Amino acid sequence: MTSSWTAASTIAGKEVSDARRTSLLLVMTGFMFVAGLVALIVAALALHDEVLTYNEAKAQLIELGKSATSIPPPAFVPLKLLRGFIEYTEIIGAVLGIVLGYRAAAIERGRNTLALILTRPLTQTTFIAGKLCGNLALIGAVMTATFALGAIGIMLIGGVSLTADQLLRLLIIDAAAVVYIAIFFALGLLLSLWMKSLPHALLAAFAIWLGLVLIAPQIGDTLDPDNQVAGGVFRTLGIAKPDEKAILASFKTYETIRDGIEQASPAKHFERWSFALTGIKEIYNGQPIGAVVADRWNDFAWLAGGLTVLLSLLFFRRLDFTRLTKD
Amino acid sequence: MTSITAPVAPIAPPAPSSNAWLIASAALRVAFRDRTVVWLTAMFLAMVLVSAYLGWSATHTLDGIFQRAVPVLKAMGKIIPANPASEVSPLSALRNMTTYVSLLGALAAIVLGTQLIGADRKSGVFPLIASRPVSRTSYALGKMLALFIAVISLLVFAAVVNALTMVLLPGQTLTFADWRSLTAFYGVSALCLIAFGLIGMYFATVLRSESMALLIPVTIWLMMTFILPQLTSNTNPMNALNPIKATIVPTAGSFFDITSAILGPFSLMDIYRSLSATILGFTPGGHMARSMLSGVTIYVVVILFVALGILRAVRNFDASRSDYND
Repeated sequence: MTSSWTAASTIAGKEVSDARRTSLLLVMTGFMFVAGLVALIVAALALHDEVLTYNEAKAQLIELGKSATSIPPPAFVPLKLLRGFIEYTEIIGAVLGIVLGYRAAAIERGRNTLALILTRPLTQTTFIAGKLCGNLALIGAVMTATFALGAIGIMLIGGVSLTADQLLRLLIIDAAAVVYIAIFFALGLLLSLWMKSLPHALLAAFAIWLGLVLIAPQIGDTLDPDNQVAGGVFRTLGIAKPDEKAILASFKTYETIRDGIEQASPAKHFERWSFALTGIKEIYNGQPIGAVVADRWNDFAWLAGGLTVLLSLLFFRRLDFTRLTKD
Repeated sequence: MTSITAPVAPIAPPAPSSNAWLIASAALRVAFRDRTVVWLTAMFLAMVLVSAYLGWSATHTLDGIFQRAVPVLKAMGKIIPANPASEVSPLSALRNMTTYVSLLGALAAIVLGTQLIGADRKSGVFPLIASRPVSRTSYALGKMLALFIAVISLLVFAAVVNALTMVLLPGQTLTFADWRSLTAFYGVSALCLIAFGLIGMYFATVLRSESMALLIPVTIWLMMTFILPQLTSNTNPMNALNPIKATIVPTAGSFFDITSAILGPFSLMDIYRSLSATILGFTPGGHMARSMLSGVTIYVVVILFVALGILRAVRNFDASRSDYND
């Protein structure tokens, strides 16, 4: 037990030091930081423009001798600025996971060390556990640094300090982000330890990423009846919420299929979980953490379930090291 | 004894154009033996097949919502607005194609462009080619020709599938102008895919690592698809995937006016989406709306610029160190 633990922690330590030396992790982390910062700054600037437009409209109304209360002021909900930030985690975070999973296998296959490692008194479970622990530490560090950057950005841009409740929400989203990215890490590692050709494994992982992260949510989103008209069909027609619900009840099958397509995407589950906790989804705005988590726990369960399935395949499917060479 | 030797005609080197054709046909055969290229192409074609149905189904549902909203509006005593489903062009059923071309199509083009050069570098045939009477220019032109042929064949097939689905779907009648617009849409799509394919080819030539040769064009594509549209028109990353949301006019502001003026010409995906939205007639473009001429010119300039970069990179390529590091 102790020797297995020592072996796994040695592999994990080597994973971290190897990854730090490669440009792949640096490129993806840098890209993640840049994208996150761009999203945050753009969101802040958009809010700033909204405030300016509101002030101009308010001044005009006062000049005309009318009451300015007819137009609501733009609300500043600090965590809402993270919308783009979360969406980039969905897209680029998943790529980071795939790249780390691919690298973890490629580094052994490229040097033809995989066969050698597995001839040593080391079980496949220990080997995979070591790889997993090392890369989870890397994913955790990158994501925590990214979310810390987000929190600092909000405080600097908004000129407000985040409360303990808001920081806890960020921490819960960070944990979900690690699980979400770990799904793609496990996918990248599984395919790279399974497929005969390494570049094919990387591209197959990218093809799955395209399907799950971009295409499934895209189909669900574009099929949404309310997204067929710029500004929303119900708002354009001037239909109130209760009537909207009554009309949509006639399209239950259509809605079930549409939602089913969205449910197939882990990205959508991560998004729903995060949007609920940050209050981006209006109905959760101002609700306590416990109530939000209780309502959206199934999204986290989907993510954890997906990761468990992939890890089971990684741990229990025997590696055929004779075919896992460089090419 | 006198020996009679028949004069031997010197072997004329093949014309550069025939070399380019030869290289292009060989490159295409090798590329389409690669299963990943075939998978991505198959994925793209599958989405082409369903895109018209998805668009038609969404428009059909929109019409259904309107029909059910009419009695509600009448009961409220409101004026009945025009049916939004009847206001859109029949080609708008293909609006999802803009997303699939910019996602799957562009990724397939990047992979194809990378593989066209990468296959030679990995198999070690580059030093052999370099020792033959084949000029580097013919080689580069042949590879680019292979990319053009592959992209255009793919899009012709997609256009035929789209045309058939449009004819078969109920309630869709296309006029001559619609057919012309469909052709224009595929012309613009070809420019988009060729640009990204060439970017993939460029990095496959200049980089020493195969993984980075794939990762850097993918990063550029991610930047063009998500980051630049956000900087130039405040489009959230996931909204960029929705053909309607991606072209909605955002909140006007001095920051976005400046960024769209400076970064707009480099925001290739925004330009593609804006041109496609105008051609297919589903929304009038947004912050990034630009004329057909300026959009097409930007793409032609990018294609020529990257093609020249490939020619230069292939000419300067060290054949003795052609294999990738990883």
